[in-house]
Amino acid sequence: MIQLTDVYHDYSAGIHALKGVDLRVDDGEFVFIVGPSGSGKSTLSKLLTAELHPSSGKVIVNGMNTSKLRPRDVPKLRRTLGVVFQDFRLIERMTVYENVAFAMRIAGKSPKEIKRRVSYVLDLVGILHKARRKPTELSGGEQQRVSIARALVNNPQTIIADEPTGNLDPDRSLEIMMLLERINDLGTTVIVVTHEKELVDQFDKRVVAIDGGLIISDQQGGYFQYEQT
Amino acid sequence: MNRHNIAYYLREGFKGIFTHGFMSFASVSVMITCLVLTGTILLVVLSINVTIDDMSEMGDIRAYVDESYSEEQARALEDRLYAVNNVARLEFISNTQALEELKSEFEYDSWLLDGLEYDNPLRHSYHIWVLDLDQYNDTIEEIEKIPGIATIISSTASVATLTRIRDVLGTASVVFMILLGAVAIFIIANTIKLTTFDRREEIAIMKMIGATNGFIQAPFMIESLLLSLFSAAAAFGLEWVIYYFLMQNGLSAIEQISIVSFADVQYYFLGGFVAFAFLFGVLGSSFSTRKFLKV
Repeated sequence: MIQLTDVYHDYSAGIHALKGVDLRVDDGEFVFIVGPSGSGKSTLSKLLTAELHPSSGKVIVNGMNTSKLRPRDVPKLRRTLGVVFQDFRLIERMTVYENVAFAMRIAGKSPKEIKRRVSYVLDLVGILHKARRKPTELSGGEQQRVSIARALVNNPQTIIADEPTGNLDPDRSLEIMMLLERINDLGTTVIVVTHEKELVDQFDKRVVAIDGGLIISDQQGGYFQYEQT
Repeated sequence: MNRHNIAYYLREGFKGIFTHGFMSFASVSVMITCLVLTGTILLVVLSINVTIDDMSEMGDIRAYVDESYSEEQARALEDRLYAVNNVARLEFISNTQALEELKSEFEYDSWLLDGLEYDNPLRHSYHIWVLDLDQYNDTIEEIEKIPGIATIISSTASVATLTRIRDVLGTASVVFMILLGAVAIFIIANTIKLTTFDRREEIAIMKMIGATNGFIQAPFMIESLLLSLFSAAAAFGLEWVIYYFLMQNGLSAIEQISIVSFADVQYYFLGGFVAFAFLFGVLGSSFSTRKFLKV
């Protein structure tokens, strides 16, 4: 479960990115967070991964209060999350298999567990046949699948995808979103930060719109509507 | 440290060495230089210590008794001499004994001294050993004040000089160690920094997927430890070669100085080199990776 209570975040340059955000995401939910550039949605995403800490207010992620986390406990929080980035962030010198296995190695899993789980997850995202390829030999869509496989491999409670389709064409974007929906159906909470209207409107999911550092709408089965406000 | 990851740390540590081969070579060279210079100074200091100890062992204070004193009167001075602070032990040498020693030194020409036993011109004397060489001069002054002691022959000057050289070299070796150690840490830190800079994106990814700082730092730590341990081993070998080269090329022929045996100190040197190299490695790598871990 994720809960933000009266969260403010100010950058040192005097920019007020979030101005009192309240948000609750229950386990197993699929939520789109939408908003224009500079609305505060990426700041929100970074607060969830503890890359940033709130200037005031409380951020609870999977039972952990990020403001009170000691630096050495941040990895524990991040292991309960799977993070998917717009630019995939795969390690180029490693193969697809190694990239995904690496996340399990970091979590201290045994080679036997790694072998079993990585093959399963690569199969789930439909990229097992390219397990020995390097990321540079894959298309954008395929790279994002690998990134999702890596996010999924440690069986996280929540997947946070920050503009996961930003570098993909519409067909590949839809495929990735359907993959995330499928993962959500298996019980993982999924939070997708995006500004792609067409994509959001194709899914009947909860949509939280942010603008000017405030949540301006939060609707189940909602549409991409910050432009109307 | 998770046992499943040890092979990964070692593999990555080895790779890092060859990624920046020139910098690795530079850090190994600087560390070897640092260790060999410090080790050589230490060997010299140890040798001076042995020489000073040998000089004091030889009982190099010789106190001659007034020529008017009979042997009995001269022997009676023993208690007064023992009462002097810093006297460890002493040995009485009668004029008869002194003449015998002189004859034995003359060997085949000892006949020149025949007849002197009837009118022995030599004096009774004492060989005196001291406890603390630092109080050497004060001890001599006290002995000179004893009535019946006519003359004292000592190697005050040479002991004082050697003590001074030893102290200067001792200080120099500490200063050398600090300065060269700082340079070695700086070079290692830069070598590791290059590797971390190359892999900064990877490090950021690792942090985002839940890697601990320990997991990220371990390969860099292994890399710097491998560089350091290799340097320690090479420096030890080089020190050994230098020592035997100098010994075989005349150093051992100089009778006035006693050279410490390398075999006696080799394990201390090896242990010291490894300990210092370990310290350089740990400090070097921890300075350089810290910056990239703040994600």
